[in-house]
Amino acid sequence: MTKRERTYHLLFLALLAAIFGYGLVTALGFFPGGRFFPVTATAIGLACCGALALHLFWGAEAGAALDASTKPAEFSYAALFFLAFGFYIAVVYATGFFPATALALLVFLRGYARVGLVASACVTGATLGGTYLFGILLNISWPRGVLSSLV
Amino acid sequence: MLDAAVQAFFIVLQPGHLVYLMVGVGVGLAVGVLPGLGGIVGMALLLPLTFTMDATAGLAMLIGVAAVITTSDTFVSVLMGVPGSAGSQATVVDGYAMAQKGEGARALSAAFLASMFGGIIGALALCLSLPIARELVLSFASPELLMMSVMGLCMIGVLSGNAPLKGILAASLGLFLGTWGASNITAEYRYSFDMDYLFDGVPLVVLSLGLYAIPEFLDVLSRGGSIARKGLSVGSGWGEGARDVRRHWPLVARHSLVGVGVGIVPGLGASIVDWLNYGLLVRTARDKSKFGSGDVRGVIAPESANNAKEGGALIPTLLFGVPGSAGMALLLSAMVVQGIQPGPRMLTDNLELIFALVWSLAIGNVVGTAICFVLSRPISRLALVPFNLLFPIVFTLIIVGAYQSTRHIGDLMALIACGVLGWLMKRFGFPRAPLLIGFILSALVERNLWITLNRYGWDWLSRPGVLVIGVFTILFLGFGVRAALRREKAA
Repeated sequence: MTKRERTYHLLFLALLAAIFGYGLVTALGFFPGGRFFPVTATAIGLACCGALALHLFWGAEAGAALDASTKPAEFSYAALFFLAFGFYIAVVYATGFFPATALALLVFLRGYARVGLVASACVTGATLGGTYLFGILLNISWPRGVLSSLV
Repeated sequence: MLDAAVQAFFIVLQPGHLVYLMVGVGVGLAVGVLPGLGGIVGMALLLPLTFTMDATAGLAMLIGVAAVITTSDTFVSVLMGVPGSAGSQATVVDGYAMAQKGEGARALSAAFLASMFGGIIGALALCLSLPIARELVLSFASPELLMMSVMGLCMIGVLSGNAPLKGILAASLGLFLGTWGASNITAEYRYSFDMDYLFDGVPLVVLSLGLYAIPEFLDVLSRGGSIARKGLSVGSGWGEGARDVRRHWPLVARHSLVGVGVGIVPGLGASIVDWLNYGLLVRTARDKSKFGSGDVRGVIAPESANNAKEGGALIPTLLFGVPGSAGMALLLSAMVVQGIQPGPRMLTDNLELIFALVWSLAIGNVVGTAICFVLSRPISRLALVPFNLLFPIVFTLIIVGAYQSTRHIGDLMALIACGVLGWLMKRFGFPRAPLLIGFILSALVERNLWITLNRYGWDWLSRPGVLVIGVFTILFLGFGVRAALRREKAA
């Protein structure tokens, strides 16, 4: 494991420790009956974070899950992906599900995948059409967006 | 018991039920052919649909997915040398070598039939375990069930990789996340951050899609191109493969039983079942000279085992309420939403449902195998479709699946948060299955703990059943940690 990889690992552990720590402190304020279980779960989590951090400090390998990434996406790629995802949700909130999804699919197909205009329009239309029919079948009301209520 | 089995058979054969089972089989076949997506993604996508369906039909649909993934994933393993799912990694070794020699159809035929027989043997094992397990299971009270859950979580944590601490940390995180929302012990909201969206806690579908679908989706997208490289042609030898299975039937039976055993132990699951069986095969075979260069036995053994595992995994899920894998955890949660409480009472209150699942598993395996034989050429081409063109469909399915949870914009925000957590866990080698299983078991463990402490005080720890399960738990933890330390020293 490289030094950089070890630092990233420790940062992730610090994030998990912060989550468990917050959970533990908050749980101490719950009613007695509902306190014991979250306190136990977060305390075990914190202890594991501490043990893993010590393990890494000593220079030992942290081990990996059987389903861990073999060829993971780069951090910058993943950050961009989640930012784009966040932007998509903001557009869903503003304009509603169908306009936002149509925009997202067209931007991806034309801008990222370099698919032709006609093919992009066909794939987007077919996907949204299928989703619309699916929504009717299951009686789903899609998010309409705050802008639609202003019109 | 026989009456229940016969009644369940007729329920399963009803057209409405069969249609949903076939939908599950279809989704399972498609997801199995697309490497990287995996069965949990398929089950998570279908999970919200089951909430409004008839319980038997909804659960049969999920069983349909689980039954055939390890059958259809053989296409890419044999023809392209890429494991279609975690359970078909060992099939690549001899299956791909056979395809390179022009014996792709022989390998596929042997794999499909071995998978089918493995699946049926798994269903039979589940069926036969019921009368044996009945007496034991019905003697369990809340302290024993609590200890079973603790043992299951420890085993899943320790066995899902070579990092026991990471596994236990993930299980703790799952138990913690499961406490969010309205408490079922006291009249208060825990960790709701004054957001009405979190009053019912984090929705399971959002968590499972975020943990599994988003990270796989992101990693496949970053690699670009089609999911699999250009593969080899199917070739010939369909009849020869069937004859191979007939010739090696003791192998099919032996490895199916090993697969059932692996399925019963929580935490072992798909990632280990194929390699364990391949290793056993190589160690016990008289003629070892052809392994690795295209020996059909190297296809038959892991394929029998990985389908039989599902029957084994259903035993702790249905009888003890302890899911052995993330897929079984989703099945368990679908049952809970339908008002069915998995555990000992299943044997008295829902015996027909258990048999309906057994029949669905067997029928799903037979139908899945038949579809693989008939549609082998078009199915094998599916993996060659560029992922960029599959993106709109998969993306929309994930969004729709997540939004189905509570139909609140918060579902999409929670999806991103769970996606980031899932990707980071995958990136840093933290097992995700213990988190999902801990999340699902959280309410059950807390309730059993509450009942146990109020009914027995701390005396529950001295009950014989609790002591026996406790000793097993400590032994498993000890062996798991020791094995991890040995691996670390060897590395």
